[in-house]
Amino acid sequence: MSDHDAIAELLLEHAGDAPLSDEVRAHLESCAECRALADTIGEVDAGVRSMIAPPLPGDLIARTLERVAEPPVKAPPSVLALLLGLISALLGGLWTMLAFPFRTPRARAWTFGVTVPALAVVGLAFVSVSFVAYAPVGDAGPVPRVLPPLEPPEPEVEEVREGRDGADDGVETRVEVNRPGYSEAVVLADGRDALQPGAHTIVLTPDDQTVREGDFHTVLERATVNGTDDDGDGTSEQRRHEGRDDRGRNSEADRRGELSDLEQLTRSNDLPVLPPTELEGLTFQEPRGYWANTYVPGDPILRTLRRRLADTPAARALAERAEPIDLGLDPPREGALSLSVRADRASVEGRSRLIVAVGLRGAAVRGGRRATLATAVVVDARRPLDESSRARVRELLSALSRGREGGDRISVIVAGPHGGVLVPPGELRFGELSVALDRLESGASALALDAAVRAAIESVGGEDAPLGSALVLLATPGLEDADARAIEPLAHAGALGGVATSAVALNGAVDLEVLGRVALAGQGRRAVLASPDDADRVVAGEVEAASRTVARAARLNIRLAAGASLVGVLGSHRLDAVDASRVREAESAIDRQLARELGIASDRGEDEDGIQIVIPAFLANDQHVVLLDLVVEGPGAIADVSLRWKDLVRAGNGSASDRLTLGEGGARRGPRERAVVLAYAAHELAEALRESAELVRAGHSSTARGRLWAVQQRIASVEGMADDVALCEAYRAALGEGEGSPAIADSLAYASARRIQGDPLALEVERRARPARPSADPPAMMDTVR
Amino acid sequence: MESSAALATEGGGELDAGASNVVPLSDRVLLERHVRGDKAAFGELMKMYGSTVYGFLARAGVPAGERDDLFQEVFVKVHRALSRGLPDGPVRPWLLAIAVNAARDSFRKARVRSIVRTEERAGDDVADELRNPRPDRAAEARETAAWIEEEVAKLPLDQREVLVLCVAEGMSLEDAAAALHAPVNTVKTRLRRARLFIADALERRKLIVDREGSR
Repeated sequence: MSDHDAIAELLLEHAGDAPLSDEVRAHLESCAECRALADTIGEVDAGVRSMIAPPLPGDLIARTLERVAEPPVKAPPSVLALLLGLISALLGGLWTMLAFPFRTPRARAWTFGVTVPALAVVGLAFVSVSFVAYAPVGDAGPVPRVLPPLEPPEPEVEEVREGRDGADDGVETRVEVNRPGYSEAVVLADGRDALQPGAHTIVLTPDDQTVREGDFHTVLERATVNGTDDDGDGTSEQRRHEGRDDRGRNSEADRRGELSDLEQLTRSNDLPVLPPTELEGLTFQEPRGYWANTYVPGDPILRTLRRRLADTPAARALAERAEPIDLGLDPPREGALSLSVRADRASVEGRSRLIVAVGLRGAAVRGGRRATLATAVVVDARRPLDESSRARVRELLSALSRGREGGDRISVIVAGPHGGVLVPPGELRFGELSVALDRLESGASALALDAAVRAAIESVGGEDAPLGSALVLLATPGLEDADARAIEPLAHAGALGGVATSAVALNGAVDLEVLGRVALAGQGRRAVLASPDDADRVVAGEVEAASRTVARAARLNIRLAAGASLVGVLGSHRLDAVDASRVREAESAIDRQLARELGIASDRGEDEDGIQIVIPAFLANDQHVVLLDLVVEGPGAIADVSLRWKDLVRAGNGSASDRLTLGEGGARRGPRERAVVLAYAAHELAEALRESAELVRAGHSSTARGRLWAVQQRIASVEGMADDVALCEAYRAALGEGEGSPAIADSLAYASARRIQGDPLALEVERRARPARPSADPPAMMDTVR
Repeated sequence: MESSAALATEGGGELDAGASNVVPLSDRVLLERHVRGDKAAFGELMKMYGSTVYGFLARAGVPAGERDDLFQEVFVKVHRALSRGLPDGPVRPWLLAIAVNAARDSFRKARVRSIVRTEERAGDDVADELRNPRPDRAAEARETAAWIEEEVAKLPLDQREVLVLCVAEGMSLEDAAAALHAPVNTVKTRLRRARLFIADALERRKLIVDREGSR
């Protein structure tokens, strides 16, 4: 080996912070090739050192110290080890006894010397297998975490009657639950879907003995805390008929007694198991067909709720404590999506109830290829535009023209006394801009602003409009409150149809609040063109928003193995034939469009076996969890999951697959399994928050507090839900103070949505806002109101 | 066992000494205090090495959702090991050896692996990268870090471990060998291969950037 090669090896094998030897340094000065190699290694090392090491979570050391302080969990002795030990000892002893008389004294000593250590080894093996790393999770559920005792609710559990919509219309509905695991809990169910045949006894007042569809909006389920028979409504007689006489439980003292029983129960180890383990009384669903997609990024409801909460920062801050479910999925290393399937336990013994989480995670990058952008610019020329406004409109259109890609369609519509379509879709050219703008005030007929916005939405909407890439840009020198009121419903309707509306102010004097209302209703953005130079930034922002989508037409297919039965897909429902055909049509439309515009091969149109869920669009860096409630007959293969999508990062078809297989043995939970339990608990919490929001809106704040208290009891037993328990406490306190203001109802609803799926756009804004960076720069021109 | 004079200068932890005249205790002194029953000492040790262990787990590719649990597992093992006595050698490699084993166990236990494949990836890597328009907007430093992370993640686990320990953590070959329970020559070989792999990828990337710039 030459010196040159030896030096190269030394460089490549150099480790730590030790300086290079003089010999190497001298060689580097004279050898350009080795110098280049050293530079490259320096770059590599600098890159490796720059790899971001995430900061240590604040409470991790404290949690670890708690865990270190816990005594090792002693598992029941292994039956197998015990058996082996006994057999070995028996055989060894027998052999020793039989052979002992026939052996020489030397051999006897050897036999003795071998047998005793062997027995000692067997004994040690027995002792060692008695200690395992995981605590067994049996039907008793997870080991409850030690939490401060929770105060029982005072007045809300005494209220047992629920009038429909809070009106005293005589339709009082109570449902007694006879469901294992819910024996003493107060649980609300939303509508008839939660009522399982045979699992409930419906008790009606004499005023209305029939339950009709839609008769009750919310059903209050209670087990033993009744105590409202003092009005002689006949319910007690019905209960006696069923063998349960609850008479006399309506006195204040008795009610207090029941509360204390309830408190005792919830503090004991008889807490309802979470996730559920009961196997009796279940109804199963056919595990095939189309199911409703629950991933709706940019859901307009979220926008509306956030907007409503803008005036009540405390209520909004409360909701923003709810963080979305995090399965801890890593973003894909290539392609737009990654897929993972896991269960709430690593192994099972015999017939078991199982929660399975199918997780999807979007790439951390924005989609490299966006779908065609159909943009209609509405120029508000109701009053003559001054020269600076005209210049800004010109720059805005120029920026749009510069930023467009093949297939983009841009049109211009003018609102005002000389309004009309100034530039039809697809006909905007650089050279025609000046001419077009000269005709701003040459229209033949008047066109109101709302009519112009309507025309714009209609021009870019339609069946061919790709989700998230149809846009109306309203360029205005000023909006009045009345203008916003007229435009808001149009923008909202457009948003529901996949057309976003953004508002751009042509000067700094515009009322941003009014501008924001339009953008909010239209799921768009608001921006101020302080100078013509800002136009490119505004357009880039709009294009970037369209580029957040990394995958389209994601088709999730879940096939259950024989022996696995579907109890349900949490939060979703099976689509009927009409809805299923709509989903298929929408999927095919996206498929064809992307084939036409991006050259991604068309591959859709046929149904698959198993549970099918179609997600129209998936955003960058987002994640979504589908939870399935299953009953399995034993260990082995449980489910095959596949995912296909139109990959906008790679401009191709992407696919991923995963399989869930469970081992045999006592239920064990590692980090992956515990994440599923947390996801399930989050789902329960979100349901409770949503129902509480409805109750507060209906004026039943005390019942909402009871609902929150009940879910708080359930999730308190799950490690990692302490923040959620605190959130429930905070809401209960807020309800106690404010008697359920509309803001609290909105806050509850918003928190529910955030906990399940997050509000990806809002979360991104929050993330950006967190590291407050002092800057002397003027405020950003682009203000995202999503 | 090393002498206490030598031990007093042994450090390498990340405890912020804060103001000037506060000298952090050496890691071995903390271990000795812990073994003697000082309950605060183990917490101090965790503060000293917490970021190192957590950073190692992250850079070695342990998914975010499992990192906290694995971190706890490492220190529970450290705690149990200390009940059997102090380590013979320096503390840092000993502790990282436990972290290395925990990470390896974690990877081994990952029973279900997602197989992601993207169809229609025609052409060589360079052409593919050229089609990918990502690098155009992100800040250069952040982009480089993300790119390096991707490349490091492609390395085999044994090479990744060596690269993280010797380069990111700045350990000597001997300490890394002790942490990995491998001969020094093996560590050298892995380090050489890992660096060549990343250097090769770096050259290809430069080529792509040059081509893009010349367009």
